[in-house]
Amino acid sequence: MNEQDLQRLLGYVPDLAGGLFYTIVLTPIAMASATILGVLFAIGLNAPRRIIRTPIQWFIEVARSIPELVHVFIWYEAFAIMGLVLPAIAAGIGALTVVFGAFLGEVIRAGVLAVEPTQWESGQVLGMSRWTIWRRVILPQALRTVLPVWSSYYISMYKATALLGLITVPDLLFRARGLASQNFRHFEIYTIVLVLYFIVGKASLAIIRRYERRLRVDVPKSEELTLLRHPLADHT
Amino acid sequence: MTSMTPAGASPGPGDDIPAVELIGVSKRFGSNMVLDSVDLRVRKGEILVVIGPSGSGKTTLLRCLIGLVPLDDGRIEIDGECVVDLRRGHPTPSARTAEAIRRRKLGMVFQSFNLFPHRTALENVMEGPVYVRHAPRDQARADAERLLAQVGLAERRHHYPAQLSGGQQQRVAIARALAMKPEVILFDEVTSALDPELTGEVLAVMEELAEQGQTMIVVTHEMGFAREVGDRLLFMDQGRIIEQGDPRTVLDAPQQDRTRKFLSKVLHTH
Repeated sequence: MNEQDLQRLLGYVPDLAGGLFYTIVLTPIAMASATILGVLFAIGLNAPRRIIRTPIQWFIEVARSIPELVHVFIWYEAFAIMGLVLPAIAAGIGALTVVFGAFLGEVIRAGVLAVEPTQWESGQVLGMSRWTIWRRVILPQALRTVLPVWSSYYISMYKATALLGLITVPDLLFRARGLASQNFRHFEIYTIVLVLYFIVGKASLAIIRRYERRLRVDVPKSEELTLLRHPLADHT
Repeated sequence: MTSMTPAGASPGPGDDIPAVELIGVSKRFGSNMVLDSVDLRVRKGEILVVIGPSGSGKTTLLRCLIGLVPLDDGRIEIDGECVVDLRRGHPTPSARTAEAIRRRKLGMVFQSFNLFPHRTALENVMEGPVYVRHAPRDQARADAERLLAQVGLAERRHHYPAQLSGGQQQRVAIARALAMKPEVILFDEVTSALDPELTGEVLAVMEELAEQGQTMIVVTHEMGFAREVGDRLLFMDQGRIIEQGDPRTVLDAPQQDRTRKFLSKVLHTH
């Protein structure tokens, strides 16, 4: 590679980095809304009434079985034909929210099941409403428990934003393809794409892991509490 | 702390209203009659100690009182207000009303502490006042600090439950119940999960509460506590109250066979 090539290569970087900006901003937004949806699903899956649980179970099943890309096209193209025309970014966030919300719903539900059932009683005897118990007692513990799984979904989400290039969101991959189709420098351009994705992905993971450690340090293992129970204890 | 007769509440207006009254309270799990038409009155300021073998219904009694377990029959009144009445032909208050009354009047401490593991001791104690009573944060904090000092844990207020010993956790749990200023506190075998050397510190806190006139219903295996602190001892077996009376009398001279049998087993192991 001569110097001229290198110059040209570096000339692509600002444009590509501009695309990377979309990826960096879209990931936390879509992940935040997917987490909120996941929490609502988890609460719904915990509902005592079947009429609430069953439709959510079905929705999650269906949403998880469809490729992410199909979700994206449904939100951008199929909805438009039905009269709901969404800007590409909104459609993309909507689609990813539903897909990841479905996955996270199951994950958070498992986290809820991992919370000691006696925590409900603790809240009840303090006179907390069901909603207050969810908000103050159950969810904070459940979310801490699932944090490691959540962070791997965060990285999946980060990678899934590349799909939005296919519905004209000018993200990193979208711009790379545009450039490559003009100058046929596929190898160089995708090398830059690879490096940029890797750097941001690695950095996000490092930040998340750091928070994970900080949040986990104070949560006791439930086994420790169990060990303290008297073997002859009476649970009448 | 020495063994003293608890002070109890001084007589005053409204004292004839029992803190808790149960009439014909029954509860069955499947075909198992866990509470069999229990009648019980607890005076304000009284320390009622409940003993009995496993499965005698003493824990269920507390759980029915506070509403963790629904009754099958009977009536419960708390401080003169009916929270449930399932006797034929009697109106029962709505679940919402019942819960509001229980929330104001009752507190409970569990065998396995059940502190919120993701909150510090101080936050555990503040949780009820701030998120149930909507007390101002500063005031709730000051109250919580005072209560933690009262149970001897002022220095440990910023520790998480996992960083505290069992006895310390249980004392935080007592402070958490006290923060709601309940009329009656229910203690469900609160020392059963503790090592013997840690039970003393928890019992000492309870004894102090008793001296302050706090109405308490204490399910326990601690016969020493029953004898020294209890105003009345109640022996349950198979969902029924078999015998009750002054703790010393019941412990030293039980009238019923079943009480005698139970006591001979329990007292030998202590």
